[in-house]
Amino acid sequence: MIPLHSEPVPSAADAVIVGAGINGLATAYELARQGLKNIVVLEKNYLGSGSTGRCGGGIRQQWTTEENIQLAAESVAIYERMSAELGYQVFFRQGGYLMITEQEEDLPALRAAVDLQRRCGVPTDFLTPRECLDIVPGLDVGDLKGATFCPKDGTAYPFAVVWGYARACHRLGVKIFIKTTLTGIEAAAGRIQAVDTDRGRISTPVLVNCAGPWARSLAAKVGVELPNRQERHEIMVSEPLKPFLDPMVISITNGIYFSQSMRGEIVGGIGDPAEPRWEDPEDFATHSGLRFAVRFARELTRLYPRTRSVRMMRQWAGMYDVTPDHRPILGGVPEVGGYYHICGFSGHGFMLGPMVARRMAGFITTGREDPIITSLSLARFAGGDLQADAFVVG
Amino acid sequence: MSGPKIILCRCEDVTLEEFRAAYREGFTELESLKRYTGVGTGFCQGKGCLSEAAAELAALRQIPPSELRPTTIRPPSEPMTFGQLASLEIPEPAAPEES
Ligand SMILES: Cc1cc2nc3c(=O)[nH]c(=O)nc-3n(C[C@H](O)[C@H](O)[C@H](O)COP(=O)(O)OP(=O)(O)OC[C@H]3O[C@@H](n4cnc5c(N)ncnc54)[C@H](O)[C@@H]3O)c2cc1C
Repeated sequence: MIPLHSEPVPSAADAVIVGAGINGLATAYELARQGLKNIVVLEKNYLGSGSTGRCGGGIRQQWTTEENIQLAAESVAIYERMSAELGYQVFFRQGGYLMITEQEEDLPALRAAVDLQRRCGVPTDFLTPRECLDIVPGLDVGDLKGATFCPKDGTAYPFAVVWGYARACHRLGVKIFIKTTLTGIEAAAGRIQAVDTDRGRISTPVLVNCAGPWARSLAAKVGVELPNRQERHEIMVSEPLKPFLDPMVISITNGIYFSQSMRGEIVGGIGDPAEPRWEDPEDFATHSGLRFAVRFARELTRLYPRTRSVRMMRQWAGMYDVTPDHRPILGGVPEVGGYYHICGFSGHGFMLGPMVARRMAGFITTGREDPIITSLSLARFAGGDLQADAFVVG
Repeated sequence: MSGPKIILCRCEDVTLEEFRAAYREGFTELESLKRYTGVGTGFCQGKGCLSEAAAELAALRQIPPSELRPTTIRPPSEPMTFGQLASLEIPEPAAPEES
């Protein structure tokens, strides 16, 4: 299904997409569905080898800005039908997200978030600590102050989503090249003309930057300066167990999250405020450390003591591509026609990707203004009046 | 399927034929084959099967096994309980390497 990597790239395409993570593949799929021909996806490593294959697979609509809520809710609608639409089982499961806090002072923000989400049509409820026990029996609610719960949030298996989109792309004639690196971009007369790869040159009027943590260095090749910063985040899975934990549990107090996958493993992570800043993804250490394992295990066993005897099986790390307001950067730039970026997802690109891709494909093929894309354009950072999303966890 | 069913990965119940089919689909690296078939992702974390998988892949690609890149080894080398891990001291954060 994927052309072998010894194949040279075609000399011309109608669109070149960089990156075979969820965003690159979903965008290629949506562009093809909306009628664009001759689409090429370039992936320097293997499918899902960037952030997507390293992510927790969590999909939630509980955000504090309207754009994030709307994009997540629309993506959930796509996830609900994704296995059928792509003809591939993506293991989407709606066990809900329980967002907990141990700080009294978070409660007004949680209540305000519930109101905003309900206005956007997302069925979130505010819960007392006791009510959390109905959703996660065995949770230690002693120090909890409150929580919010949306039963329509859930999880999917990231690699399956990648493979599902890749297959659907293939059926629609999209050509995916793995082990193929974009090395240069040629722009002239204010437009994208061609791209260079280590397997040859492709002339193309459209280049979509879906390079995840590498998006900033890619954009720099056409003189576009992105404010994105890369952050290392660790994650782990336990041994597989019978189903016992329905929702994803996530704490806005200390950034721990954990859920049970359809394979039965507990999948979870925790943010680390002491994590050093890494400047360039190429220098980036995606090593995993004992520090993470101990911090995660302490919080997990404190909040959910019944996990004490469960064994941790495997841990790894990946990168967040973080923007100053924790919201993605979408659209194009006035200086270079045909250049588009879909990046800066800041730890939530898996849950927003399906709808972002659909909207971006519409924008690219018709040029019609899309209010969400406009409000999430790169230009917003010039104004200085940013509306950051408060519920960033992990 | 013809011939006997040969199990390549016992933890995740992956057959040799499934592994070969994944290769034919375009998964030609150990890293992506591991993820696509599940080979080596079970309880033993590949101790019982990844060298067999590598030998098979080398044969399919007709290259010496030494040319294959091994998959990244993920800690812990033996599964540990969360209770055991929680009782350890928290190590200092790692500093980025000087460049
Ligand atoms: C530990 C962790 C947990 C997370 N948990 C969640 C979660 O629960 N829910 C959620 O929604 N999000 C989560 N995220 C964030 C999510 O993983 C990302 O936002 C999302 O996967 C980004 O997808 P992408 O397709 O934009 O980028 P990526 O998946 O990073 O894909 C970019 C691709 O571009 C390729 N590439 C880069 N440069 C080049 C080049 N020059 N030539 C060719 N190819 C190139 C890379 O190899 C890579 O495969 C998590 C992230 C991490 C690290």
